[in-house]
Amino acid sequence: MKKAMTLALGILTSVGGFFDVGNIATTAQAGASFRFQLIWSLLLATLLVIFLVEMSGRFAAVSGKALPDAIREHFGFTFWLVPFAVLTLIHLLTLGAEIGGMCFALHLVTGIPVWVWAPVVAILTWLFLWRSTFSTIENSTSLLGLLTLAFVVAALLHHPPTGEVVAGMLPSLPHHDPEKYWFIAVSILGAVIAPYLFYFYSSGAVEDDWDPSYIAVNRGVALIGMGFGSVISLGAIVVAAMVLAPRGIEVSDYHQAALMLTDAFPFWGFALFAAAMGIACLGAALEVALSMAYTTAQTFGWNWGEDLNPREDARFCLVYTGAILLSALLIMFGVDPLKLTLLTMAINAAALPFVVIPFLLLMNDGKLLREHKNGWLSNAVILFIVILSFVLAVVSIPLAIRGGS
Amino acid sequence: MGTIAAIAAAAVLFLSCQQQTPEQELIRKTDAVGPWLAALQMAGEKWTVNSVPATFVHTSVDAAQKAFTKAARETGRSDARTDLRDHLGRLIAGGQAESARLRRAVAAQDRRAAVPAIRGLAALHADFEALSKAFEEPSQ
Repeated sequence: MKKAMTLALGILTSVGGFFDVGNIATTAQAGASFRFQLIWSLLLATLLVIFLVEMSGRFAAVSGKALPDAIREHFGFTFWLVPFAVLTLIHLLTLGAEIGGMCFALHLVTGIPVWVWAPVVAILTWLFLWRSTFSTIENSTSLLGLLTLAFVVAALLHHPPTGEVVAGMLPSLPHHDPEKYWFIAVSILGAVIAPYLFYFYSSGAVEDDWDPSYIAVNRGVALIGMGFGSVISLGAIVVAAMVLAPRGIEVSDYHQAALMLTDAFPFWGFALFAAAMGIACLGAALEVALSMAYTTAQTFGWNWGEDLNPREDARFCLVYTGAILLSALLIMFGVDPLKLTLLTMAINAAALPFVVIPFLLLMNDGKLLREHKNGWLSNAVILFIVILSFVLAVVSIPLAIRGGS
Repeated sequence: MGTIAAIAAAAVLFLSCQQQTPEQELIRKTDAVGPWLAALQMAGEKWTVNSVPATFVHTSVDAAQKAFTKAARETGRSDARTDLRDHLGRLIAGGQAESARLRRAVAAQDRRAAVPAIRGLAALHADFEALSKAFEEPSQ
């Protein structure tokens, strides 16, 4: 019964927590500029993230260890330093993007400049982390995040052309702006396969005391939760394709994306968009700040755990405090939230090999995982991810300079 | 995997080999203008039916004005043909004027006064689209 509850809650929180600022920015751009043509990149990214999340949960359930902890112990501190440095950069940039998203949501409804909201949002995020337990954070923001299902409802209300949507599921070459097309494709991959996500997931599984009996639950959460979560992103692409694209509105600023839901919900659409954006970004900001604290504490062998009293893991709390402060400063100093988001997604994509390769090596360790080590299918998918990551790393930078400008 | 590598290689090759005329380059550098004209038109329409608050129109106009100013600067610097630069310059100035007009109508809560500004933005957007199409890069 407890496991069934865990599965149900896990699926709900995965669905609610799937959508974040990177997904909002990239799916709105994809739909507005290329209608349904980039759905394939979302599907590919979803498939890969299901595998990664399943593996990180399986690893934590079997070994009782989170990924950074295990990689450091297994391969040594020096080996782990490069992935750790890359993860730290990604955490800070992603946290900045999420804080920027929350600030923008508040800017949309109040008109008060984005940078003014940065300290308020930073304090709110910090207070939430300081006062809450892991399960409160995991469940409350993710359940509120179900508000993002508004994109799915809106997509259905627009009655999109089924043939075109299905055609978009297969990769195709763009009819215009090829550099922009590939940049958005890369950004979608970077947004969905966020490296912090599977590192955070393994720490969360340890916080929730998973053991090998949770492997089936983990599989269900990864497959159903992430699968349905991506339906929200698909909904956002469809809405942008049905509302923004026919009007010639491309998204170079969140103001343009904010109009997406106003056709489907004339009176609530604008408020729904702002609320969905704010809540999705709050949930993701909490996860990213925690993930950074987990990774750092596990790297240096400090006490860690969101359920501990801050007195018992002061350095863990200090890390998320510093991370929130630094990331909020980016927004306070006037960095454009959308540009920061897109840059971060490109860097996410470029960074994947650094964080996936140690993970792959660990997942094939028979001593550690016994009969639960990776099978050929998992290995093939991971190998695919590593090659794809390398290609993305080479392509995403020039595309970011040219297409994302 | 081979397909992905081939696509990526083609994309990199495309980026490194592509040559643009000064006209195409100017169109690319000012391509934010059209979407902003369309977005302001939609924001204005939605405001007239109470779908978005007045503050949203104000902040959208402010953001659009920044994009228009940047586009005007790019147009001034460009080596493109004079007729294109003049045409773009007129469109950008029109966008600045119509968006300011929309802002004034919204500030005064005057829905009737917003209508001509919205129409003006729509006309400018159509003009911009036609101009972009005339100079767009050949498809790959």
